Amino acid sequence: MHDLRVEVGYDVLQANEALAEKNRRLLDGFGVTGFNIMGAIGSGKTTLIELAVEKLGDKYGIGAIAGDIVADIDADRFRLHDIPTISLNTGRECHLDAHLVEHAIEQMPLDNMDILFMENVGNLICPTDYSLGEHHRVVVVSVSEGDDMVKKHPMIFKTCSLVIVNKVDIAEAVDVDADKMADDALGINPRIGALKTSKITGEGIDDWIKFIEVNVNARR
Amino acid sequence: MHEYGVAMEVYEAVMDVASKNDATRVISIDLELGELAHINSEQLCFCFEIIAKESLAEGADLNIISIPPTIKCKCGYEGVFDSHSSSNSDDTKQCRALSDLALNMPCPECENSMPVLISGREINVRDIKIEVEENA
Ligand SMILES: Nc1nc2c(ncn2[C@@H]2O[C@H](COP(=O)(O)OP(=O)(O)OP(=O)(O)O)[C@@H](O)[C@H]2O)c(=O)[nH]1
Ligand SMILES: [Mg+2]
Ligand SMILES: [Zn+2]
Repeated sequence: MHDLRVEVGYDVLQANEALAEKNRRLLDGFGVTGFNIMGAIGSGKTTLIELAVEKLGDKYGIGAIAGDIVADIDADRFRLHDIPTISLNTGRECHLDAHLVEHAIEQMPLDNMDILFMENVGNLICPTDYSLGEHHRVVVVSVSEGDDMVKKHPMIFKTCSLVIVNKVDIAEAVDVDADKMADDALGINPRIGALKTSKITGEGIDDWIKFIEVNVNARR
Repeated sequence: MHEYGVAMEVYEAVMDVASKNDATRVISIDLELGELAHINSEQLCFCFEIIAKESLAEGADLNIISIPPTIKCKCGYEGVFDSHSSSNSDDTKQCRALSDLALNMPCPECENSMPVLISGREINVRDIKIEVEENA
């Protein structure tokens, strides 16, 4: 018997990155644009995807991946809209990763799809480090999380191309300045697009839809 | 945060290399862990210990090599990123460093360029020490 030192050289995040790139190429091959929808718990991720499906469902083939820690609640909401949906129960995990998504997209009818929404687990920290193979990263916060939400979790805003400050209809009631939240995000990442939205008043929803369409059409 | 999942991946990487090298036992593992990796090293070790039970890696020492964030600037500056924090809590330090980086801190040397992070987020299984049979 003797001891031996052997090199391993396996980096968890790099391995995820490599797999994400593979997913991205698969989506590219089918002309599908992937959106990784991240954000705080209950900020309105599912709602915003539902609104997009309602407005764009006739024009584009849309599929969705719903990352829930347990149960199929969000996935069932997508299924009500009659779109191909895969539910990913992450169990104890606080984020989706490229490996989970790889198995989900294997089961999707990619040749009939133009858009894939990947709703991440509600969390502003862990999803930041894990690409899924998306083309665009969107972070959703809502006014009910409070003014300082953005400043407390800067990294995610740095990695996204769009921030949505949702539920602006209740901003006054919770005494929060939605503009400040958007400005904070722009301070962290000057290149980020910022939208203020409300499903109640409809504010900003057209801009959200436009963001999706412009990016989908740009890749066709 | 997600220490369990990461420990599982570390375990799989270790077992893969150990079995390819006909190990009879894994003695130790050197893991490079970036200070900004969102991973608590104690929890990681704890999860690993549980996962490795009744395997070749049971009881192996998981040595965590902490990697401080290093930044590099166009001007040639390269150095450890100092999160100007006297706090000794890992979590606070990590949060400060992350928010400073995210808030676009200028280069400490030339002050007009934004340095990029070149290390400090790794979760890298660098190497392992294994026991092998003499005639293997
Ligand atoms: N007032 C108001 N409520 C909203 C708005 N958008 C979403 N909600 C409500 O906020 C709650 C959470 O919305 P979801 O879309 O489920 O949020 P989510 O981010 O998907 O939540 P998780 O997946 O559980 O993290 C629901 O009760 C929605 O009806 C809005 O613009 N204004
Ligand atoms: Mg949801
Ligand atoms: Zn410099």
